[in-house]
Amino acid sequence: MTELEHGPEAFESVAKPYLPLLWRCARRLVRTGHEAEDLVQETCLKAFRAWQQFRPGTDARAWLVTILCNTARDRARKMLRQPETFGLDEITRLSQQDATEPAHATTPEKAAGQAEVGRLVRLALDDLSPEFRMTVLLADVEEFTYREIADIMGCPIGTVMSRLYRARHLLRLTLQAVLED
Amino acid sequence: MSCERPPAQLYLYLDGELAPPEATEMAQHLQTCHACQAEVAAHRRLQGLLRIPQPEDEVREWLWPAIHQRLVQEAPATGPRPARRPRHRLGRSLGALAALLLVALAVRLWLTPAVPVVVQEVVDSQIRARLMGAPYTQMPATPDAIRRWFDDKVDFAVLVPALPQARYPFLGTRLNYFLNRRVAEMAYASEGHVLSFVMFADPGLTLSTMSPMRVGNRTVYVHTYKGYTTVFWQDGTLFCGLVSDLHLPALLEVLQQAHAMT
Repeated sequence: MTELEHGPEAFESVAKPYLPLLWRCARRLVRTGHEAEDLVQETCLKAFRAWQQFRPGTDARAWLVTILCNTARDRARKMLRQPETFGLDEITRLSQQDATEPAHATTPEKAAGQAEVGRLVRLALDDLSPEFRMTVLLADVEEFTYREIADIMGCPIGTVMSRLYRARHLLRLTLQAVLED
Repeated sequence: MSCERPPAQLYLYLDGELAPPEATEMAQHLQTCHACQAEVAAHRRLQGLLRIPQPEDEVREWLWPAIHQRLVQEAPATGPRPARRPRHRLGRSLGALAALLLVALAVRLWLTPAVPVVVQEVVDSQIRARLMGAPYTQMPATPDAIRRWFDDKVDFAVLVPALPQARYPFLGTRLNYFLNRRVAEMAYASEGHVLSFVMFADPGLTLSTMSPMRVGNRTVYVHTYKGYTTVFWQDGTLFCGLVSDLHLPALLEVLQQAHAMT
């Protein structure tokens, strides 16, 4: 890499296209949009700090998601040691946050239907442990291979298989009514 | 309506994780199995639900500018720096020590023999089968019955180890896959463990990258990987192996017991 390629511009040209992916993963790993923003920002900063070790031509997508997962894990550990406290204003802001998110659907009925299904899917995913949730997300939404997921999550490929199998089974049970609709 | 195949195998297929021969076989099976077709449809519906874009999935427009700003602030500290004089002697010594440790680690890694592919494959296939709960097909433990079962499944004459039934109860047979080929597998129980006898044909494969060991009149190749012990030997163009989480002495005893291959 030349000196110029160490700068933020070179990093951004590689990382920015994966922002939607990082955001989707972050949104499913943490509870609130605010936490997701922090997580994605911290992930990008960590990746930038390690940018000199990144080899051009290797899989930036998996590299960035690995950093995101590790960062989320570190943050969760830190939270366990220092539980976050919320003030009344903060609680009000969090409770209103999802209500102010923009809707995608074109008609009010469709919007209501999609929002309801989306909410149920989100609840079902939230019921899973973070490891199960991330595994099923990486496999079924982001289409990573088992090998890539094992590398990202730092676990054996057999663990990926069993987590995926169990996560899908649990989701099928939770979402049975929606799936049969 | 049900199917004897473990559902986990179907998921491996749907996720594109099966080896080509297994995938072809599963695709053929799917054309006729209504239970598996229903499972596929349910799985696709679930994937469809998970992929519905959520309003919250939309990246907030201020996020990248905020990241950019932090990157720019970070850049002078992270970017390339002009060459500086070495700080002091301690730094140099620590650097030399680290380099020495790295060299020692590299030498150790270089001296450690790599795990042969055949060992990796057979062990991984055992772990995979165990995780999937892949069943054994039960049948009388007679060489005739076992050979008949494999007749239309593999293109070589299956050898059956003559193991005493009282000590090693026969669990059944299974068609396994590794190294991209069909493998005959016969499973026995031993002291609460599963002991698998595997066999496949390959004129191009050689075991010579493993250390040989003489057991009775056979030259065998032993390797331990992921808690499993494997013992391989060659019988013409056939490759035979024992694989189990039993310890090596127990496996070698089995090998001596199975002196006759019928």
